[in-house]
Amino acid sequence: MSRMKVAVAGYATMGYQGEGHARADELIFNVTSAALEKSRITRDDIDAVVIATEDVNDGITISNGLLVPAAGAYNRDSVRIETGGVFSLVSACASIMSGQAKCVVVSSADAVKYDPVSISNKSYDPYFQRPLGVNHIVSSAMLSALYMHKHHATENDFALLSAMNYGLAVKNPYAHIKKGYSPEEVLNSPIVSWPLHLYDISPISFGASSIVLVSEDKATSISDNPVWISGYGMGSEPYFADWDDLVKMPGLTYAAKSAYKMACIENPKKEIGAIEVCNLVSPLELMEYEALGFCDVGSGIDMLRRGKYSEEGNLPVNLSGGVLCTNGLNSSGLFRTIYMLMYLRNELPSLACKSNKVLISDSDFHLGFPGGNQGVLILERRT
Amino acid sequence: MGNIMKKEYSWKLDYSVSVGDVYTRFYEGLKEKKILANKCAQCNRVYVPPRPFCDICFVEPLEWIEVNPTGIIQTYTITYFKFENLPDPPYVTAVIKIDNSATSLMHFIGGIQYNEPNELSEKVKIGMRVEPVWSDERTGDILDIKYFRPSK
Amino acid sequence: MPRKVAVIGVGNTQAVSAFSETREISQIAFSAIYAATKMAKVSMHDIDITFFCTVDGFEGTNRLDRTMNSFGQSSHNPVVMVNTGGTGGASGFKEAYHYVASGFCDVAMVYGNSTGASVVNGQQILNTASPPLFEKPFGIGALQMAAFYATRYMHEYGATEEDFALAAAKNHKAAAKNPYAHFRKGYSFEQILASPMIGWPLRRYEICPISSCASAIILASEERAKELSDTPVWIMAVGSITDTFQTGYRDYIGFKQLRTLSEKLYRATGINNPLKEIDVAELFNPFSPFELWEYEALGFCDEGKGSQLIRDGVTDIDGELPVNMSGGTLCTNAGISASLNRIGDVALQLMGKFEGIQVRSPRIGLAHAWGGNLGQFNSIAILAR
Repeated sequence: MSRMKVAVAGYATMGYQGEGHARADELIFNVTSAALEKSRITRDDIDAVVIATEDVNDGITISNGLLVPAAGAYNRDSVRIETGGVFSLVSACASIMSGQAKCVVVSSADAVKYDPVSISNKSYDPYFQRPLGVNHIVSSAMLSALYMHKHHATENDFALLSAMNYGLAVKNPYAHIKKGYSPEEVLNSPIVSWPLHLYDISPISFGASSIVLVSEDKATSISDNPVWISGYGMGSEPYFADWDDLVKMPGLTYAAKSAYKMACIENPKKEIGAIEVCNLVSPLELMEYEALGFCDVGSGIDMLRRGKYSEEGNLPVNLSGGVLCTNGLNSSGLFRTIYMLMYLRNELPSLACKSNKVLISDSDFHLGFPGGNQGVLILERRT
Repeated sequence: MGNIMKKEYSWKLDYSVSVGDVYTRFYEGLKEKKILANKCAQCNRVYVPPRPFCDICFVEPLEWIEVNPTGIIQTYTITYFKFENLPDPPYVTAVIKIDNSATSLMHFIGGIQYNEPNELSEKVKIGMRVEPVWSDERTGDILDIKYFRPSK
Repeated sequence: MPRKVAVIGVGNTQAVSAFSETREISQIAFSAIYAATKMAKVSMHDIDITFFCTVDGFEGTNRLDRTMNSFGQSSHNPVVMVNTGGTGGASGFKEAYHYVASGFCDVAMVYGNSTGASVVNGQQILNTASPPLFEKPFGIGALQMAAFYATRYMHEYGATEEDFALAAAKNHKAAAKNPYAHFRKGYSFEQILASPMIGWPLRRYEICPISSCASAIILASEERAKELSDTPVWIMAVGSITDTFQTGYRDYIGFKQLRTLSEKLYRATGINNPLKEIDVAELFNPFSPFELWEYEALGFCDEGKGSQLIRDGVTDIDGELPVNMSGGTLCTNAGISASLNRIGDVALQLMGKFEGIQVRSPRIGLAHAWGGNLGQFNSIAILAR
């Protein structure tokens, strides 16, 4: 099984909240120390550090300067990837599989309060789109409206999806929003940018997460049955684009294909036991099911209405509560990966793990459409 | 644990970017109430706004054309919340496909009659044909088009 | 199994002053990338992954990689945004190397552009990188950071202002022959010493400009490299090293960590006598004095003897180890791409394709970059024909 080359040696996350109470480097130091302890890897074993943050979310330029030492990088190799948690984990995998490192820490934190709408607005080009005041909420809303038009989805469907995520987050001790809103409460929340209601949109969450990855030979000395990263893929979408293409999420489709190939997965619907999708706003979840190949285009709503996507249904989705309930702009990718690690290792008392393969998808939707980047990660445990 | 302090700060940096010759020409066109596009010689795709190079063929497009400034709404939203530095709600943002263009253009939709803001989502439709309404003062900017309105 | 990886294409654009730049960002990108693909004999669709390097706060747009559309996004190939400050280009190169060596993909591109082209006042932006609570209020910018090191070096080893001017003169003379360089006046030693003192002990012509240019490098796996290139430049070793953030830990005497990193990479590549065995080098010198202690940290000479190498012409074109025959970062500094330029220029020298002062038949080359708050990071790449 040549795909099992990189294993997870340890991980740690913390309870995410609506406010920050510590500096980012303190948070990273805490979760990294906890992850190392769990892994029985010492600080001396660390060869390299990858930090998954964006300068703009950290409030300083070259923020990796502040953050990499907090994850143990002093005197070692380090890098900072701004394209999210999955991309950062892939960087660590590449480093290990190229023989350059045997042990890599991947870490991220959300500690600084900022205005997310301002940030996404500044991520648009200054010539044609930024002057219109477009941001991730306005553009996600337009993409959602297009999806509704093409596939006859309704605000009710989106509210149902949102409520599913809220319900699941109630059982996640680390999730931020534990209010468990019902579909009615979601529909009654004010419309921010049609068709998105306030509760269809993620809040901003504060917290930190850290994962320690090791090479195959180190993994076998640490554990009999570690979790392996068996596949990954990444994709991008053009910024100057035709929106009719965008709603099919071509970048995610590309990333998924690449990940399935690496993980030797021919039938994702049958082989993957649980998925975490990046639902910055609820409608995106439906588009992601389709792009990942879990249902045909346009059938997402159908399956939703028939209850196929739920904890008890055929495919548990967003057991963590998704990005909707815990949205650390820097760390949600790592956070949801950690929740899936806990699930695979049967560490979640309220959830019994029913499979040995899970999928996490991560994107920079928080910067808006078009022009996004998508990452897909497959975790596997030998039965 | 005692109260942890918070410190506020911001960084205000001024930026000035060169728009380049391709976008400059597009902007000059807007000043004259024209929508200019360019075309890739290899794949024949027409681009509004014009591109410095064709992303598919990775060659520089050479031919400039003036296009009929009408198109259809591919999708839209109505924003009801006030965000800092952004327009006062409610306002309609839309993605518009100018006829024959390979890529989409974003802009505002205006000139819609309504009594209550929540009527707007019914009055604007995907597939609606729209045309530009020009600002009286044009400086060579995307907002030289004030907004697009439904055309007859 | 890790594979061998080679540089098969390098693309540069002619540098101009950032203040007089008229090209739009994606146009500059297109030029450099197009040139690299032509040299590598690949099309944009052959590139499996792109690494883009910049510091967002220095740009007018956050996550500029998304809006540039110049990286084959229409084919949905991933674009990875790497931001490690001044060493960004070197970090992106290291990433590209890992991804190809690991077998994830066969052809990768790394790109850096004109960071400074957007910002109206360059010095203040470096202040945004200072630790906000304890160091930012003191208005530290890049100039002050460099001056701290230069002053200390003079104090420790008796280096003189003349030594710094000699180092600068070597770079300016070389840049005058490099068609891609920004400062091409070829200022002499006397002109440099006569130039105004900007921040003691640094004079105007010992300080880099804010340039606008871009650089793209294409890497390929061994198999693809042999198919596509007559002059593949093999990547023998790449690495980086990290210092503390809070600069209270620093002692401002040279780059100790650069020494640690170079020793590690020399061990990995079997280099015992760097001065003799390395044939060409590009070291990161946005301020001319840095070159001197970089020689020392890289083992070209003993500590404190950097000035002697300059005075004896050892690092000029006819010397044992020509350094910065491109004119270095001193004569062309487009921000983050400057760290990529060092690698690209070494690769071009090894290919025999350098358009400027071409070193005679070099076999092994070393490229260096530093960056971050007061030189927190150092990066090295060792390449060979």
